Amino acid sequence: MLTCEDEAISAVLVGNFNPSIFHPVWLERHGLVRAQEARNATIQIIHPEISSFTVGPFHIQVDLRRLKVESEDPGQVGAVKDLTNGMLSLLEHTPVSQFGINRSMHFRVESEENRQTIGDRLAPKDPFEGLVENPRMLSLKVIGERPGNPRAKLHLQVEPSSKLRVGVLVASNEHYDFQEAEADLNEVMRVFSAEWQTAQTYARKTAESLLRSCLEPRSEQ
Amino acid sequence: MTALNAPRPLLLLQEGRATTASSGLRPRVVNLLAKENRRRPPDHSDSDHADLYVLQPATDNSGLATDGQPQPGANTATARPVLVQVEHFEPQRPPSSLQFMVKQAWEGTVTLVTQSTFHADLRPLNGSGVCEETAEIELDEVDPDDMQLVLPGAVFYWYIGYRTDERGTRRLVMELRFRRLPVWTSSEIARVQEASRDYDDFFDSEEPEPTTSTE
Repeated sequence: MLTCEDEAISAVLVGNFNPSIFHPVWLERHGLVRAQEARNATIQIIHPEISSFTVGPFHIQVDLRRLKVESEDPGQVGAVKDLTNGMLSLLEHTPVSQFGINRSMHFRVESEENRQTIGDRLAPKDPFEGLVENPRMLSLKVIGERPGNPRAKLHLQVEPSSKLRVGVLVASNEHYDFQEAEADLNEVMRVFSAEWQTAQTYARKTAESLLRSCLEPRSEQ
Repeated sequence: MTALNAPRPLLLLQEGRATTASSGLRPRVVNLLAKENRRRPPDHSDSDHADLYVLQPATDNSGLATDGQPQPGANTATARPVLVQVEHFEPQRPPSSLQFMVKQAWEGTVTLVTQSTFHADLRPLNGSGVCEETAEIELDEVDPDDMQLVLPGAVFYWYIGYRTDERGTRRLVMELRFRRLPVWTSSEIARVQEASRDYDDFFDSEEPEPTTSTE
């Protein structure tokens, strides 16, 4: 049986940012987070070149080129999107050229044998016979598109979980690039809002489907 | 953990020695550079790390500006700003949130608010998005900080699932969080009001003279 026991959801935006603006007080003042969460926020650093803090279920990290809004609570999928949109709407002149919709999922796969089976199905070891002793899959990356959404590049990464003793990590990144289109921030936010939930749902279903198919018994040929 | 309202020195340097005065930071000081020799940190597109920071003197919160931005406080006399090359910065976070296994998830819109409950239309987040259910939810389920948001038309997220604590105990829990949009600040409202007054004055001054009928 497959169980997803650890997840992280994040939005990553690439552009030009001023990290010192980002602060729990700033978020609370603009109504973007609960007052109690802002009061209990944990600040790692607030600096002109990098800021990092945790407020409620959200981790915010921003440097001069990159803003990341993350939560390890899968119940906050919608809230991560809203917080990201809320911050961007306050920074209406911020140029954003790319964004990524990310979900990383650690699945417990019941046994080491199951984990080996997944690795063997995704990366057959036959070509390595005689060349590498005891070959094992360390990490597999695949790039493509989500069906029906050719505008974004979908990256899937599968590897042994670093959080679960007998687990597999499936990480999904749906990457949108607006550099060539020179889209303004409103267009970027529109696409981000429109695709967020679908991308997150698809990431979860894809991960489960992929691992289940790897564990299905193969028909004898 | 560093509380929001406690003094928060970032990396306090005194007489060339670096001390980590704030929990949650684990810089490894490699070199002490002259303060004129500043280098911008490289562009990291895929990691949480940065190599170099220009450090500020220790600050406290006594100088919070009225716009909420932290300002250098009064007690900064002892530390002089010195450039330190930090080899590896790992933003430390609090322990990850208790595991939450989502069983049901909806996006809802409030349709009616009573004294003790609110009614809402619910759309499954993993389904077609079409409204399939309505619900009446106790206001007691709403976080006190969200109560002001419970109005007809407000959007919220409702998750039901199992949360497992550090001891492995699993409980059925409900997570309800309202959508938050940036609120207008008093200065923004004042700016808009001033602009509207300007427009009023402009259109009042341009008001045409009443015409005399030629019939």
